[in-house]
Amino acid sequence: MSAPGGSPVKLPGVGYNSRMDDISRRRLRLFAALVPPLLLLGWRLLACPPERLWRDGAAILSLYALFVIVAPEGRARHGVTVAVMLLLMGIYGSVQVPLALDFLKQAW
Amino acid sequence: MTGLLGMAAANAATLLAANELLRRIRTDVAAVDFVLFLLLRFTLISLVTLLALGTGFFTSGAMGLLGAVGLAALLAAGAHRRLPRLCLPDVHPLLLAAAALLALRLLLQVWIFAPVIPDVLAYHLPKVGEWIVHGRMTGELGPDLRANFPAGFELLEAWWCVFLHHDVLIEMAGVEFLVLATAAAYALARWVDLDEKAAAFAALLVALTPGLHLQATACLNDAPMAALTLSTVVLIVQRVHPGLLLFAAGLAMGVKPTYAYLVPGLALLAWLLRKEARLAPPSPRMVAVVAAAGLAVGGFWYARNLVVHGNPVYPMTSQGIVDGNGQITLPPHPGLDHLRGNFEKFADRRLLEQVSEPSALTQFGSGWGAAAACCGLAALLAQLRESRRLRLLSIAFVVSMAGVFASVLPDPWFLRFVLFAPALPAIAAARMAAAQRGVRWVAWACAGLCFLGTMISSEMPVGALSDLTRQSWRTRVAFPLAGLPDLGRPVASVEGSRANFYLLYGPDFSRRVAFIRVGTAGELLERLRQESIRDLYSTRKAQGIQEAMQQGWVRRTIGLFFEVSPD
Repeated sequence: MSAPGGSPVKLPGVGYNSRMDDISRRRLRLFAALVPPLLLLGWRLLACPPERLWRDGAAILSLYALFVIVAPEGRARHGVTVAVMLLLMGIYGSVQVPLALDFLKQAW
Repeated sequence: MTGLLGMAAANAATLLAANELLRRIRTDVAAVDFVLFLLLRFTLISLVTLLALGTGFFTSGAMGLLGAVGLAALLAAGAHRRLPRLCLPDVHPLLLAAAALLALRLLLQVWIFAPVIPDVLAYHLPKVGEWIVHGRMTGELGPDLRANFPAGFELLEAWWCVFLHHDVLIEMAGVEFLVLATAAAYALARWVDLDEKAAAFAALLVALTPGLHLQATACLNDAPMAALTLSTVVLIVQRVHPGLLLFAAGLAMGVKPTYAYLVPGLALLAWLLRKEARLAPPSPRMVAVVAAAGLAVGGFWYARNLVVHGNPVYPMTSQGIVDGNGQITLPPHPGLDHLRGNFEKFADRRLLEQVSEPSALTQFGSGWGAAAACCGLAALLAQLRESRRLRLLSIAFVVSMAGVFASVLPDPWFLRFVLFAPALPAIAAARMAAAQRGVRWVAWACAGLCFLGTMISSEMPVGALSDLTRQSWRTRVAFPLAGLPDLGRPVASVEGSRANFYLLYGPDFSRRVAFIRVGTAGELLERLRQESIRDLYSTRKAQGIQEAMQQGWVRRTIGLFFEVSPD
């Protein structure tokens, strides 16, 4: 006997539905993948002052990790990836470029 | 000129000899073989330097002669005919141009920069000064207890100083290890699945990592340790003979004992890959010889400490490493509170370098740079699901980082111990950049930011660049030590300060430093007469100096310098 999807189905009471098992295993994996970024995000929300949160690298990256776990592969995901990289680069550059230029000037 | 010729001959000899050895242990994976080639060269240099130091032949003439004889023997044996053909890699011209620019700037930095980091001047380099001045190991390492740490990296620094009897090229040792880090990153990227072009871009991003790059020209040994860590990872993932892993581990332990903190992650990686086929080397016997050489070079320092201090990891004790004020600078065992504290500091402002400009010591920053932190981490997260190999490396790197974080104090500089880690996000960035044009632009922009951030480390004093370029290379120092006697005049250190101690030797190592440990002024006077020394480096608190000043035959000149009165 096989299910409409083609995978074998055991009769109730004599085995288990392996297709259902696949689905629950996939859910379990998704849940396991969600836990670390959720924990990290929660911790950053508690630890980081709200006014600094938008430029907190760990918070942005944990949000992004949640996004890539749930978002399907495609153009939108690529767009968000580039946007996140640009945001992080902007945060990094806004501090580092003036510092580096100022320091180079001082070093001369 | 003779020194220059000797240096060229000795370097050519080690390159040829390393290639000869490589032929017997090669894996036939070109990228891995290049990593092994560099490791063999470092081992040969370390062994020759150790032997010369032990026998008292560590002089420009003897080392140059040895290099010339070795080169002649290798040429006579036809070793030059077995060198691989050099050809330009098949990469984008823009990448080649960037690599050439980077190499040129590195050479300029080597030529212009002089040692400046406090730790380097206090305990890394005084022993190099001793070795070059005396041509042998004298037993004196300088007044700082930390000078007893393993000095595998200092052997290479001494190699670059001995031929010219000058430290103008001392940073070449760090540059060699940056090349190793770059080669290892390339090999790792190829293993992950990147093609030649993408792997070359990953290697460029790793070379531009501020922490690694600034350390390369700062005489610090954290970047060499990171390079050796990445090399070990390459050898693990390629499933080479276990003897070659011991070889790399021996070298790394001889450079910095903090390598031990990384071992859990490395062991886990080896375990995760245990079912993959192992590469068989052409000569297992040569692998055993090479492994023994690596362990000997690394183990030498622990054996010396065991003999001299009765403790192989001296100055680490059951209380940890304690500084002069009784403060613990390195805890004796790992702790969860350190792990938490260090992780919090890493994930807070340091990750994106929100506090200070990049420094060689990664002070209040991470030293990861824009390419790894901004582009690489996002790219890594996005690709973890699709690449098993990236996942395996991530797990191993996180465990290794946790090993370090649990074992060191959350001080402003702790992230220098994990400078191997940004290589992974850099590889992920290059992998994603190869597939997506948008990411390629961002990655190149990040590389530009890294280039800007690696011009000069923040440890350099104000006006350092103009000061350094204005000086003649023969007398070039990062900053003058007020009161230092003229070059060539010997100095006596009488309970002298540890700070800036290396500067006493001078860039041409023309100042002999005598370590005088005496109680009374009379004993001091006798030793000074024996050594024909009139200049002293000390403090007013030293008993002998105090008495001598009261007796009127020693006077303070400037700062910590004193001189014996002419009459």
